[in-house]
Formats: sequence, structure tokens, C-alpha cells
Amino acid sequence: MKIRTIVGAAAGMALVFPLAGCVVEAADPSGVEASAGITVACGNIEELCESVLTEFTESTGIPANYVRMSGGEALARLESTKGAASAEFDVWWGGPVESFVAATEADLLASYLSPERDNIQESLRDADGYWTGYVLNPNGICYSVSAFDELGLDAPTSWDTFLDPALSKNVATSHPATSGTGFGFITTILALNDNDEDAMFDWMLDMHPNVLQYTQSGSAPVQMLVRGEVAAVPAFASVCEREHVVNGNDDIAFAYPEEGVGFEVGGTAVVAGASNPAGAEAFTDWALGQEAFDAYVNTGYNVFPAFVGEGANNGLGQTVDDIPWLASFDPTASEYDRGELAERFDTDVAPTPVD
Amino acid sequence: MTLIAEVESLRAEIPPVKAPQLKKRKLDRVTRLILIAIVLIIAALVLWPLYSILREGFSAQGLEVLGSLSSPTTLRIIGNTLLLGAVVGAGGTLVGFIMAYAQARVQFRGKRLLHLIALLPIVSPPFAVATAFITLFSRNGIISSGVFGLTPNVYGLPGLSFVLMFSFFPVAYMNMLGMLRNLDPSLDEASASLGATRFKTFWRVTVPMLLPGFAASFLLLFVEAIADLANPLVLGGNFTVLSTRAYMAINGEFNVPGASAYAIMLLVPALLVFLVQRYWVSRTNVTTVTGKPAGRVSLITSPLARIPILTFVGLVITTIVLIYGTVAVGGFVSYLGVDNTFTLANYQYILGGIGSDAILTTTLLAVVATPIAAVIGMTVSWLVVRKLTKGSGAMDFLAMLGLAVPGTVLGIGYAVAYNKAWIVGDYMLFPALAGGAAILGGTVGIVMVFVTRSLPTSVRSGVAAIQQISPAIDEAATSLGANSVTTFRTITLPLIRAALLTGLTYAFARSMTTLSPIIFITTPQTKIMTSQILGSVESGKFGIAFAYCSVLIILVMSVIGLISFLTSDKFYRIASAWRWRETIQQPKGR
Repeated sequence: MKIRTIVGAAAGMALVFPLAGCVVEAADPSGVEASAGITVACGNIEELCESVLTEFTESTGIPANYVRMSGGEALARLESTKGAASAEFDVWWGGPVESFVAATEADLLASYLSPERDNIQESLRDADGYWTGYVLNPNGICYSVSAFDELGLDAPTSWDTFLDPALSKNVATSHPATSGTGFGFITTILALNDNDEDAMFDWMLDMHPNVLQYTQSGSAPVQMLVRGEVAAVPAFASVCEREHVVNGNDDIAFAYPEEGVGFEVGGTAVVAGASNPAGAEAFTDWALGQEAFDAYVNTGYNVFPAFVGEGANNGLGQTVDDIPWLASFDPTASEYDRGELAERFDTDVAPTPVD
Repeated sequence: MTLIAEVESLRAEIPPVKAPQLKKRKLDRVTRLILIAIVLIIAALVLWPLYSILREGFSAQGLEVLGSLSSPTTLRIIGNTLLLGAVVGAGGTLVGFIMAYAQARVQFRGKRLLHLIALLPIVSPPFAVATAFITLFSRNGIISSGVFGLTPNVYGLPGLSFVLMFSFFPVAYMNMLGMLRNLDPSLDEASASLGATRFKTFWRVTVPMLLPGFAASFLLLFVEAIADLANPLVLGGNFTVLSTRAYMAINGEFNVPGASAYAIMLLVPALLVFLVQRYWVSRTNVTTVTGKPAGRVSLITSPLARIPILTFVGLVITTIVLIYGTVAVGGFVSYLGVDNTFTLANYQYILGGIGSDAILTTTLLAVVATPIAAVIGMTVSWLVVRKLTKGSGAMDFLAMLGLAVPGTVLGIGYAVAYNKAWIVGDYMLFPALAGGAAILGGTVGIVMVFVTRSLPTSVRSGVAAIQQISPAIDEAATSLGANSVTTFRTITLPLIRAALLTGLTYAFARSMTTLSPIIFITTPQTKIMTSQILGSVESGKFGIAFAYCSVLIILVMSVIGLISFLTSDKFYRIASAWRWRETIQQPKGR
């Protein structure tokens, strides 16, 4: 009994002591070679994280690891290691820039003025270099051609298609409180109504009888469309186009409403306290260029580049000039209180009974 | 009528027989050491991360959310949560009980098969059951629309509670089955010889004896249902519950303190149900394992009872087969219900590269976490039922906390508590346990989360099982000179093997299927299957998601099979024969 206790205690101490009590060496990231490899908090879809980062490593020789998570999750996670000797991640890539704005305010990002940023449209980057946009993704109407035929509807050309009584219980949209897609949709309608919140909520209430479900996830509405549960959903272009480009489903089509479309901006940033800042900066330079954009489009995400360039297109032959961008739309949504809008949506629109 | 009245009056006269209570004497030294160790472990697993995050709930931003408690929106969400918990708790317990009763007491063929199929839903990878359910029963579902021509709306309370009941009933089933098998058949015989009908015996003898089991199952299912995130996310529709609301706060509003505040609200109903259950069970404590010889159970053969019970069992089994069949088939086609062409591409994708890496890592970490959770769980239940007088309720509740908190919030709690090393001055007191910069690639944190999430089931089944055992058996061992630990090891543990099996099984299944807390502590070195499944679902690759789920189910079922062999009578007999031989060879022992 005694011997066992002693052995047990010794084993326990042997486990703990090498770890505890070490003198911490002051981290000096300036000496770290870029080639030491970077760790990325990836806010994109798994396939994109994998393909684009592989391409980065092939192109620059810098190894890149990633963990995939949503914008809100990345923010919470960066916050949790704030003040540690070194941050868990070097780069935060992907995710809507709105969450980057929140992270900048919380001092979670480091400023980096990449030489490449001069090519980026001014409205798509932070003036102080805390984050830089690299792609933009317009929203619009994703619909099923066969369902529209059956319902006797023409191909949609206006956001008001969602108000058509013929689409009763045939629309799904993601909840603005949980999903960037859903929030992008309501801010688009808001911009169309000259930022009149009451008008926007009236519009949403008009659409409400047509909505089968406000999904929690941004990707769910397109999946409901594919499964034939609904006929039309608001969606980002690349997510919708992907269904026929990658998955070969020709019944799914995408339409740009003529009133104008909102858009999402994918951003990239160097994390404050990165253990490999040189690598993070090298990644930023690369991510803002043509090579990264090509890797993006080749994975089947037909977005538009944030850089200004001759013939810059989305891989489907559409150039930036072909899209009816809403001039008054602000992708950082900085003038809105997202929490308040979402809360009001959750109170006034979502639970309203429909007979 | 008169007979019943007579029995009633008799019952009123006879004071209820209280189970003999073991005198909880002063704890001996070994027990005290164990107690301290367990308290430290629970503090590290649950208390510290929870404290780290709940502190935020009482910050200014969190108080704002807590202050909205009386607003109609918040009240509606709380009401929804309680309703969901009650429906799933009651329904799931009932389904589990009927299945267990059929298995233990009704005569029919194919019991082994029934048992295996009834256990399948224990392995419900997030999204799999809900997605299969949508594929089959939604407005364009293969069965609802394809077979019956219906277009039901499955989003909301009915669809959600159906899927949750279905996913969680196996816990109730396993609890109940263990208890039913431990019931002394001589009680039935006594009741029958006093002239009671089978139904009356069932209603007046069997059911009252199982009350602790009913209560334990209800509590567990209630807590599981209100803390579940994946299913309300997929199927909730406009039916918002606290767990999805906390998720919204993080993902939509970037408001972690707000999410913590919702988590605090979620703890209140869990605490209430827990207190009610403790109060109620302590009043109706019955012991059934008395160490006295027992007779054989006579199985029900009367068609009057068999037909309705077996019809119900048949329906449940058919649904399980349909849903898991959908998952299995879904892995071999591009997109089940949309593009049904046969393909092996999904399996090629997941068995090469990232997929196999995730499968391996997840299984390995779950295998490490499982015995830890089961051992801690059984020890906690032993302390709670047998050893502690003061603080037994507190310890029981602490062990339950890991489940009562939404996974998202627990995950952030872990990130806050363990992603940073403890550094005082220049000295590292303790290394980071979770996250990318942690020791062992952050695996320690993940194993800890696995243990935390599976501990409650282990504790509940352990508590219910130990309560069934008459303390007289313990006393007999003690009077023969055995100390607490020896008594636990040689008397209690063998008697609660069924509960231990439940604990192990569920711990493994739960570890393999945990998603929401993992997101906050997963690292590039530790790819976890569930987050890969989430990724596939989000990019619309349902074939890949279903293939992952099939692999996960097969893995879990094989490990469960292995565990049940290792804890079976057969293996136990072989093992104890070996030990006995050793003892003979070395008569002096250690």
C-alpha cells in the first residue's frame, strides 16, 4: 500500500514538474523566420481553407496550418488568449470584414500596411491597415428554375419577388442574428429603403408569410432549395452558383435584382501578438494578389477580387462592372447596431404567427 | 372495485417501508483522499472553466441581457426551452421504458437484435439524424411526400422534439433495462400469489420500484434536450431556445458576455429539475439488490399486453432503421433525394488525407477520455450515495453541470481558462492545456471537454444503480473487515457493472459526437470528426457528411461491442478465475 502510494505520487510529480516551474523565455517574434510556418484562423469553408493554403505553401514555401471557424467564434477565441505571451494564431483569413471591425475595436489585430493594398479599392480596406479586404461576394436571389415554372413565375429580377404571394411558404432565409448571409440580406433591404429601419421591417413582415423557416445557419437556405423544400432564397452569388458550377445541379439559378445588390467582403488580418509576424505579413501580401484569387475561384467560389485590375472577373466571365452594386451599401455595417437589428427581427418578425 | 379499496385502506395503514439507510460514518483516510482528488478534478474540469465564462455573464454587457429577463422575447425563449425539455424528458423516458420493459419482460424473438438497434441512436453525430429526418419527412421528403404525398412543416417544436426524443431515448432505455433486470422477481411472485393481476403487479410493484430510474432518465433527458445545440440549429425553425440564443449572441452579435448570461439562465431550470428529482427520489427510495436469492422472471405472453407493446416497439425500431438506413445509403450517393447516383467518391475523400487523420485523432482522444469519465463517474456516484452526508447534493450537481451548460459557452470557458499558461513573473506555474500553443498539441483540453460532457450520464446511471443496492451488503463487507475502497471494488463495482457499461458506452459515444465546445479549442494538430462533418454540411456536401457519420457510427458500435464484452459475465468470470489463481499461488497476497 505504502509503496504504491509513493510510486503514484512520484509518477504524478514526474508528470507535472517538467511542465510547471519552467522559466518563461521572453518571446521575441522579430527573430522568427517567415518560413517557420503560420497558423491561420480560417473563416472560410473547409475546402477553401485547404486549397488556398496549400497553394500558398506551394507558392511561397511557408508551411500553413489552419483551424476553421466562423467569424464570431474566431473573435471569441482571439479574445480568450488576449495578453498571452504569444497568440494562438498568426493570421485571421476569411470571414466577413464586419467581424474584423469588431476585432480591431477590441485590439486583437496588428496593423500591417501591405505594399499590395494600394491595388485594393479604398472602401474595402481599413485605413490604418488592421484589416484588408481581398474578395467581394454580391448577394441576390437563388432559385429553382423548375419550381418557378411550376408556380407560373418568371425568372426573378427584383427583391420584391420574395413578396409575391405565389411564393407562399416557399422561401427560406437565414436569421440575421446568427448568420452573415441573413444580416447581409436585411442590410441590403435597409440600404434600398434609404436606411429607414421601419420600412425595412415592414418589408420583412410582408415577406414573412412566404417564409417556411428562418434558418440559423447561413448555408441552410440554399440546401433547402436544393432539396426542393422551397423555391427561392436570398443568397451570396458564389454559394448559389456553386450548385451548378461544382455540384452540376442545373435547376439552381442565380439572379441579380435590378434595384441593386449588397455584398460581403472577405478580409485578412495579422493577429496581434502573432508568433510569426513575418510569415503573417508574407501571407497578407500573397492573399491580396492574383494568385490567391485564382486559387479561390478554381475551388469553385466565383467571387470578385477586391483588387482593381484589367479584366478582373469572377471566373464566370462576369466583371465587376456587370453587377448592379448598391452604392449606398456599407459592407462593414458600421453605422448599424447589429445586436439591436437582430433583436428587433427576433421580436417583431420571426415569431409573428401566420394563418 | 372493493378489492382495490381494501388494498388502498391497507396501504394507508401500513407505514411505507423505508430502505435501510447506511450510517454514513466519519470518512476513513483513503475515502477522504479520494474525495479531495475528485473535488480537485471536478474543479478543473467544470468549475474553473465555468467560473471563467460565467464571470462574464455578470459584466456590464452580460447584466444587460440578464436584465432583459422579464422582456416578452426572453420569456418566450425561456418558455420554449422548458417546454422542449419537458416534452423530450417525458417522451424519451416513456419510449425508453417501453423498449426496456419489452426487452426484459415480454416474450418475443429477436431480443438481441432489438437491443442493438435500440442502442443505435446513442451514436447520433450532430446533423446526421436531423438531416436524415429532413430527407425522409420534410415537405419534399422521400417518405412524407414520396410515399404519402404530404408536405408537412417539420421545422419547430414537433419535429425538433421528435428528433431529440429519438436521439436520447437509448439512455433511458439502458438505465431502465439495468434496473428492470435487477428487480427481484420474487416480488412479482409475491404480488401474484396475493391475487394481483399482471397489470396490477406492474402498476403497483414494478413502476414504484423504478421511480428513481424514471426520475434519473427524465432529469438527464431534460438537461440534454435544453442544452442541445445542433438539432435546434437545424430543425428549430422559428422556435428559439436558450442554447440557440447563446449561439446567436456569439455568432451574430459578437457578444460573449451576452452568451454567458443566456447560459446562466439555462442553469436555473437544470438546477430546479435537479432539486425536484433529489427531493422526490429521496422520499421514494427503494432498494432492490439485497443479495438475497431471486427467482426467475416469467415473461409476458398474453396477447392483450404483447400486441400494443410490440406494435410500439416495432414502430420505434422501423424509424431507427429508416433513419440510420438513410445515413448509410446517403454515404454512397452524391446527394440523397436530389442526385441518387451511386458513388464511392465520398469514401475516397474521407478515407484519404484530412478525413482519415480526423477519424484517427478523434477515436484516439475518445478512447483516452472514456475510461476516465466512467471511473470518475462511478466514484462520484459512490461518494454521493454512500459516503457523503453534507455536500452530497452539491457534488452530484457539480458533476451534472458539464452537460447543463450549452457547449458553445463551455467551449469559450475552456478557451478562457486553459488557452493561456499561468505565468507569475517569469515562472510558468502551469502550462496551457488547450488551444494551438498548448502542450501535446492541445489534446489535453479536448480530452477534458470529452470527459466533462460524458461525466453526467456516467454519474446518473451510477447513482441510480447504487441506490438500488441495499446498504446491508456494504455493511456485511465492512463487518468482515473490508475498508471502503475494498468494499467498493469487490462488492459495489461488480453489482453496478451494468451502470458502468452504460457509463462507458455513453462516454465514448458522447466524446465522439461532441461538437460545439470543440470549435473553441481545436487546433491544427487535432482535426475532430464532428467539425469536419459540420464543414461538409455547410458546403452542401451531404454525401461526405453521411459517409463520415457512417464511419463514426461503425467505430462507436465496434467499441461499444468491445466494452460490453470486457464487462460481460463471461469475461468477468474468466478474469476473476485468473485473479483467484494468482491468489492461490501467492497465499500471502501483497
